[in-house]
Amino acid sequence: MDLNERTVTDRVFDAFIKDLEGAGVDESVRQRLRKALLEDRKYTDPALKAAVFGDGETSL
Amino acid sequence: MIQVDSITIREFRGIRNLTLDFRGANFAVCGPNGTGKSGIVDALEFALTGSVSRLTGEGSGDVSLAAHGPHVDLRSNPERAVVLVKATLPALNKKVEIERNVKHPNRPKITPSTPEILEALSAIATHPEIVLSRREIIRYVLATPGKRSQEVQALLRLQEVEKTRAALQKIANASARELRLFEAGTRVARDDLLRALSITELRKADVLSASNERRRVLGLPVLADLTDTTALNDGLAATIAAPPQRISKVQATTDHETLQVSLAKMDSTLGSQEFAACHQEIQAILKDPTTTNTLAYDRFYAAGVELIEQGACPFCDVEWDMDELRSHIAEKRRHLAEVSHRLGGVNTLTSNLTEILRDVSAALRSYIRYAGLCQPVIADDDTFEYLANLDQIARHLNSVISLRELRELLQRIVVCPSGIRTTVTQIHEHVLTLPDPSRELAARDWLIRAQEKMEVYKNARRRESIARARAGASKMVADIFTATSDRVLTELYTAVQDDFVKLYRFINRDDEAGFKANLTPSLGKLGFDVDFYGRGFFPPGAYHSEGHQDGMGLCLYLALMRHVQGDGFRFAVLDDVLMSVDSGHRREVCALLKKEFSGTQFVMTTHDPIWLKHMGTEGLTGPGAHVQFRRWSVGSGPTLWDDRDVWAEIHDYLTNNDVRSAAALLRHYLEYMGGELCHRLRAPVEFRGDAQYQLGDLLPRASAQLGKLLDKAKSAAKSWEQQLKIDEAAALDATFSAAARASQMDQWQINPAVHYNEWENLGKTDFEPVVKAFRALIQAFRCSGCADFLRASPERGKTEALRCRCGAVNLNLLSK
Repeated sequence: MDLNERTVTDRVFDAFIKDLEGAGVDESVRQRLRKALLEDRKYTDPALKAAVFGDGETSL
Repeated sequence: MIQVDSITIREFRGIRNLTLDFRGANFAVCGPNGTGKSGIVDALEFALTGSVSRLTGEGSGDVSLAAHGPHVDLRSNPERAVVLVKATLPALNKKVEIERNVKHPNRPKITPSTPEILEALSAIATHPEIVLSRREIIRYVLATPGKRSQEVQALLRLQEVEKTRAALQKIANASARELRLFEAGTRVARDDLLRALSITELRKADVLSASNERRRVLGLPVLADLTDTTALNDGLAATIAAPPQRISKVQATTDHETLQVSLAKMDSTLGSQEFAACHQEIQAILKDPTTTNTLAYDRFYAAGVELIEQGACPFCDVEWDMDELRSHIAEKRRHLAEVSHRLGGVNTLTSNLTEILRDVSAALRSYIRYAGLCQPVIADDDTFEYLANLDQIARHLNSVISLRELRELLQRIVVCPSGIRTTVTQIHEHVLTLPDPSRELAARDWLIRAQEKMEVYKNARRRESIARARAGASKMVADIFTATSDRVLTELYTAVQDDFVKLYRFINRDDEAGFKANLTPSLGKLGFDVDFYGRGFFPPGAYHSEGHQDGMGLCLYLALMRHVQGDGFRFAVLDDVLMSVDSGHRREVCALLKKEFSGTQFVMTTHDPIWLKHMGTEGLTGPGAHVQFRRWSVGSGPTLWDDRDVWAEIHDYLTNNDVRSAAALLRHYLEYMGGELCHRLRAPVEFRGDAQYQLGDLLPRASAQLGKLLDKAKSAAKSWEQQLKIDEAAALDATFSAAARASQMDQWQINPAVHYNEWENLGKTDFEPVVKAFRALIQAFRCSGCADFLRASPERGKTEALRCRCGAVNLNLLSK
């Protein structure tokens, strides 16, 4: 798909994943966030918390 | 996206049965207000998205698609309200038919229904912004920055970005709060450990020294080092098998002393003059209605300052510059200073009380557990309820409450009841009866308790460490997301702003060629200021006319759509939008749409037939790419003008012997054409301040101007010795002169009032030659190849050439 045909939201999310990599954020975190934002399209607190901390690690 | 080839509308809104053939190209719908134009707009939106903004959006009130989508006579048969769109999906190079009825708006019949087509149509269905009406224009231009931001965000589909940003910030804030809790837990565990070890500083040497002193008593090997795996009571189980005391006399005695100190402090505070004065001050303040909320606000702001340590507003999670936010809140609190001063003593007391209640609660809870360990067990029925009350009061005292609530809370605080004090005394007396432990037993108890506290402390530190890592990671992720989204959106807004300026300058290049604009995103707002003739930047509604504002709205919409959908911006409906653009710039709007959005199909509605002609003459709409509604009735829906040109319409009138209508139409058309031709040929026209030009003011001027230009073309060609051009200009001149003579145009210049005023009095046979002559005259202004009307070029400055769109006519006017 041409860049211009992608939504602004997807452009933001793509750039975000790239910036995470540039900042040295762990690959597993990046993969979970990519899946949540660009594949599953889940933007809820629990979904993103699981993406940031990993499944089963959402509470201490 | 999509391009619409045709639409068939049945029993939908005000339309009974209508088919329009767009042929995938621009199309115009013209008709007076109330003739059914909006029905077509609604039908297009319905077919493509399954909804109708006009019936479901803001301000639609009790109107709904289900109830009011079908024609009024078929309200109970929504399945008969059907819209069928035949379309092309350019990206897939596929044709598709979409049929929806109002009964099942979300179950369209799609043919063919391959997965890729369904996916493409599903994406289109989420774009109601394909329809732009004047209502939307106002939303973009005249809205407040906050509202505009919402509208533009909705258009840009940024809700998900905002939702994600808020969620990540919330997670980061929650993790930061979680970290503070675990830090506090570590501090408590550390203090407990220090008390258990009977030392004041948690240094390795001090821990080892205290532990080894007890270990020596028990004959255990001394510990040489203190690591994460070191157990202070290592080897204890193997050495001494005796069970520990049920109650450690030493510990219980210490706990009793701690409790007594806490209770004494509470007793003295609650019985103090300050406490009584505090009550009186609250009562006095409560009698003054202007100050009753002050404490709540002040505590609210104070709590807010404490909670913003992570750089975001604790309520809306919006990021702030820390110093700016603190300063902002400090300013608010300064306004409350006078009343706050009176409440200073109250605040201090409540703050102290919170600590006292917590101390009493912790000490009592710790000591009362001995009641169950005594032999016989000491009954304890009241402590639980008292502790729950203390905890609740302490929690509320520390939260945001009103002064009235504070008064009630203070009234609920009671000294420790005598029943509980009696239980405490009974426990203490029991402990005193216990034998003093042997030196070995005391050492053993000490090591067990120290190790327990050490484990709790280590665990607390471990959890704090994890919380710190989570807080750091979540903050990093949230910060990166905020920075990334800001960067991408700033780039986007900058590009939209530049594009908007370019588009607006194009349609206003005559007087605002240097136009500038600022589209400024900030904290949930989108500022929009425009340059007003170099005098500064102002909101669009400040000085610009409504027509100019509408032009801005259209340009901003187009710029946004181009950046949102990029090459996918293939279809848009402009619902009477062009009408609201100021009349001096409509031609430029047509040229803009044609030049800048040649890949986009526009379906446009207007109630101005002159506008419709503008679209045609500017080439925005092709021949026959329009429909005109004459009138509308509830029974039959819109009535169309025949899809033929004006000459066929005049012929029809004459066939019916209706000379009056034929004359009126001819005059109306020639008035329009006279203005159009004067504009194109740059004909000199006597200026009228009221802009009310009559036919005699315009068409003769256009005719004279074309004759003059053709003479100039012949002279120029002669000077350049271009025989072919001389012949070409002469041929055009001959044709045109013959047509002008036939129409008696020269007579108009002598007495322009005579002829057209007499038309309607002519008989059919007398009027037919008039029609024929004027048809030939108008035709003589066109290129025989492309049918475009000849125009003088350039539009301003010295006239250099006479041209048409296709270039078949291109006559130089400048002599050697």
